[in-house]
Amino acid sequence: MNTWTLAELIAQLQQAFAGFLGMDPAEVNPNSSIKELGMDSLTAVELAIDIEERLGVSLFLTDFTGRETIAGLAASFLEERVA
Amino acid sequence: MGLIAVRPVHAAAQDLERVLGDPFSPDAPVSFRGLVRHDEREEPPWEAFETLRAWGVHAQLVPQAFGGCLKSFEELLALVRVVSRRDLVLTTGLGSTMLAAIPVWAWGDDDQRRQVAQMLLGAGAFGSFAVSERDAGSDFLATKARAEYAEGGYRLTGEKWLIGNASRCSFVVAMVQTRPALSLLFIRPDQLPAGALRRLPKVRTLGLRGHDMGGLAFNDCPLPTSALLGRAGRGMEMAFTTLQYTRTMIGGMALGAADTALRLALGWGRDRRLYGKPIRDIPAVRSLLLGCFLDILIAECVTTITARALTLAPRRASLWAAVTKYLVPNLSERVVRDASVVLSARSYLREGVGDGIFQKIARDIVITSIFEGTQLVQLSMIASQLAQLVRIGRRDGEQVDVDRLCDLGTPAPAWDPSNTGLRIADPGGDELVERWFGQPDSSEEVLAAGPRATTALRSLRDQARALRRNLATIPTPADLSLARRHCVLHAAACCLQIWRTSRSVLAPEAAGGEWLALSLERLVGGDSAPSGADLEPSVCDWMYGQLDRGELFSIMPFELAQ
Repeated sequence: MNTWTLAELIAQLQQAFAGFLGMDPAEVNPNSSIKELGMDSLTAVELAIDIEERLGVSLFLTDFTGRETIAGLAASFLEERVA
Repeated sequence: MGLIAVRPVHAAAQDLERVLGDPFSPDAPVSFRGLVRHDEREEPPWEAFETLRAWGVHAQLVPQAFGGCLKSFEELLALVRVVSRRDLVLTTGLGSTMLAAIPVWAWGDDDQRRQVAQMLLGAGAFGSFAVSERDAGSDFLATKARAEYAEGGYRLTGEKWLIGNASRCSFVVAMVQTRPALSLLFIRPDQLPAGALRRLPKVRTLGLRGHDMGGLAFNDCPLPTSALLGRAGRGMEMAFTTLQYTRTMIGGMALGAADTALRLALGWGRDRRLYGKPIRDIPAVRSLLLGCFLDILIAECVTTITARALTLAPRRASLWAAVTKYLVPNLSERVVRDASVVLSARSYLREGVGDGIFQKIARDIVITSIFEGTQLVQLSMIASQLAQLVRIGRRDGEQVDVDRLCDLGTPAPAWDPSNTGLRIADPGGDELVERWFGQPDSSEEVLAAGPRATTALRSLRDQARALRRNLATIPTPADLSLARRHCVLHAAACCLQIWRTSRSVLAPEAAGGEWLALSLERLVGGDSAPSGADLEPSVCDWMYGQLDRGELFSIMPFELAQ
């Protein structure tokens, strides 16, 4: 299990989203909703699996609204891990 | 029998066909007369299920690694067509079982696999894949049934509704809310305490009246931790993947039903005389019948390639299974509708021609475009994946060998359930469309199929160019017409590539490419009726030849029981 800080995890997720969306990581605003970034629920599920395989970070889609942000997802992942 | 060399992938289907007998004969083990009788009573066709069980159909649902005979989905597709040309109630009952078994084969533990293999191979059991609920259909995340983790196990409460095999299933794979998200649970109703599971009454339906469609209500139902199937929280992901297999097989169901519909219409067109001649000689009737035949051939090319791709190019299946599930039921329902125009009043009778089986098919086939994801769900999935492809292009670096994929002379490899290679929504590309409608110009390659094929191909290339332009300017296409247009191009590419790669193993009449030219024209024009005197007669002769010789309507020779 990795021991990323919140900032490190956000940076990792930015990179993963960027790869998936064909963008530069710097263009991926961690506070934009993932819908604004161009994700729909189907691609979000695919990306979650991709992130899990590559980073070992398990993100679960429980209530896809599109309003989730990378920063929010990273924070809840770290919270879950502590809990 | 025996005039046609049986292809290895057809061997099991050919044997089953022989055992089931000619359904038009009331004395056959499985006859239209018997099937209609059960439909009238809204009860399952027991004897037909028993005939299938006795033949060993359940072993075809169990991978070889677990003691069964399931090799590739190309083989399974042939079986699905043979059963479906008789009664979709049979394939729906077996298909729901398969739907429940696939996640067990792919992600179950050894004990779960052993249990399911034993139930299928021994008793010929039914299974249920319990996903939908009254308030949660296509929207998985709206699932309410919930399993709380407690006392070294789960307590499951909630209702699953519109579930196939609900009253007779021996095992259930249910999608339920758990921590941290949706999971799949493997449930054995025979091992539950009294009152924990209530089987809900049969739901009355338009078609498939003999299908066991109902519901399962769990009330504080205790389940051991070993009920968890695969990883906790990844239920939705496993369901998305599982459906790619069964959506492809639904193509075979639609094709089987369409085959019987056309067979009835052609027989009627030959025997019915009006104005002093058989009605099939009336140009409008002839054109309808030929259109039906072309639709079946197009649908067959699409379904066959996706079935092969499930083990030859599994990553593409997230896109291609959706294309198949959208396109093939559409084409097949059009076959049934046009056949009903030819049959006219006879299509409306519950007796007479084919012992009244036509009206049953017309009601039954409607389900193929509804279940396991409606047409709108498929189009949305296609649109989402196309947008993804346009946004980032090819990511996986793999190039599917389309010649190998479409070489029908070489069977597709066996399925390896422990390494499916499927993705949820990341197909990586559609090489078939790229191969024929990308660069460079491919129209020279179809010269042998005649000038009409070349012209149609050029029109399709123009359509593809326009689609690429539209996709590039609309990153997330809410307009599903783009997805629809991609489906048409994919279908054309499947026909082209099969003709190009497999000419030597197709029916001799398919080698010349007349059917290809007419199919491409039909796809270019949406639903344009075949017309003209240069190509139509030879394709019509082929169609009537398949009817008279007792063969499946197919680009590949397949002899039916006589």
